Amino acid sequence: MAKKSRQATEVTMDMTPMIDVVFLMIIFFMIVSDMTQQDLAEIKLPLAEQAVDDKTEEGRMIVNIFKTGEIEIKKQPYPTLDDSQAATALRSYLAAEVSKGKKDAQGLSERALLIRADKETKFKEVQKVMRICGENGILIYKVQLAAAQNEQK
Amino acid sequence: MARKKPEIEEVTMELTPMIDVVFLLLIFFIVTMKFKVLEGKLETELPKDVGVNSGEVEDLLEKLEIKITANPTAENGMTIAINDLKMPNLQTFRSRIADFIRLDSEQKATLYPGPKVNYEQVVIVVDQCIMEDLVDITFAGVTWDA
Repeated sequence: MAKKSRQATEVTMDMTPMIDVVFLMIIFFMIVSDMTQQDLAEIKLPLAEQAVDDKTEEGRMIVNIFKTGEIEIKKQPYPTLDDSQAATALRSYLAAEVSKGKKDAQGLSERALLIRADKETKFKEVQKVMRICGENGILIYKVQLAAAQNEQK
Repeated sequence: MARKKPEIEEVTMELTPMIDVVFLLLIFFIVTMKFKVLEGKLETELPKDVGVNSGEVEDLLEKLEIKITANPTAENGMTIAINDLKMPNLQTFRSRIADFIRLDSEQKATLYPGPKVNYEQVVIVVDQCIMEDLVDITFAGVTWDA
C-alpha cells in the first residue's frame, strides 16, 4: 500500500488579540500619566489633615525646595538662594511671571505661588523665597503651602 | 487558443512596523509613568506691606503672634508660644487658638518660625490653626531669632 505524503501546514499566529491588548495598555498609560505633574519635583511633603484638594489653577507658579535648600522651577534648578546669582535669577523669573498676570488696586499680584518644600527643609529657605515675593516689582502675597493629604480622609 | 486566467494576488498588510511602533509607545508610557500623588495645599498670605516690616507690635491683645522654636526634646521637635506664652503641647495650643476664635471669629494670626524650624513643623502649626477655624494666617517678614 502506498503511503500518503504528509501535507505541509502553514502555521500562522493570530496577532489581533495581542494588538488589542497592547492598544488597551497604551490607552491606560496615556490616561494615568498626568502630564500636568511635570512641574512637581520628587519631594517628601509633610502630612496635613486640613490640606484642601489642590486643583490646578491657571497662572499659578510652583516653586520646589529640596531639603538642601536647592530650588527647582519647571525642571530648572537654582542653587540655594545664598548664591546671589540664583536669587537674581529667581527674582527675574517671578517678576516676569507676575507681569503676565493681573494686579489688584494695591498693585499686588493676583497670581498665587505654591511652595512645595521637603518636610525636612529648614523653613528659613522657604522664607527666603517669601522675602523675594514681597519685593517691589513682584509683590506676590497669595502663598500656598503644599502638603500631603491623609489617605483615610 | 485558450486564454490564461488572471492570477488573484492575495493582499496582506505588513503588521511588523506597526507592532514595533506600538511597543515603543508602550515602553515609553511605562517608563515615564508616575502615579498621581494625593497632594493638597494650605492657603496662607504674606504681609501686604512692601518689604520687611520691623515696626513694634502696638497692641498684643488684638494680635495673635505664634512663635515656633526648634526644640528636639519637645513634641514634634518644637516649642510653640502664643503671644510669648509657651504652650506645653499641641492640645493646649489648639484650645488657646479656639479661645481666640470664640472671641473673634475673624482673628488674624502672624507666624514667626525660628531659624532652625523645618517646613514640616510650620505645616503642623498651620494645620492645627486651620482645624480651629483660624484661617487668616500670615508670615512674619523676618526670621525670628529664638
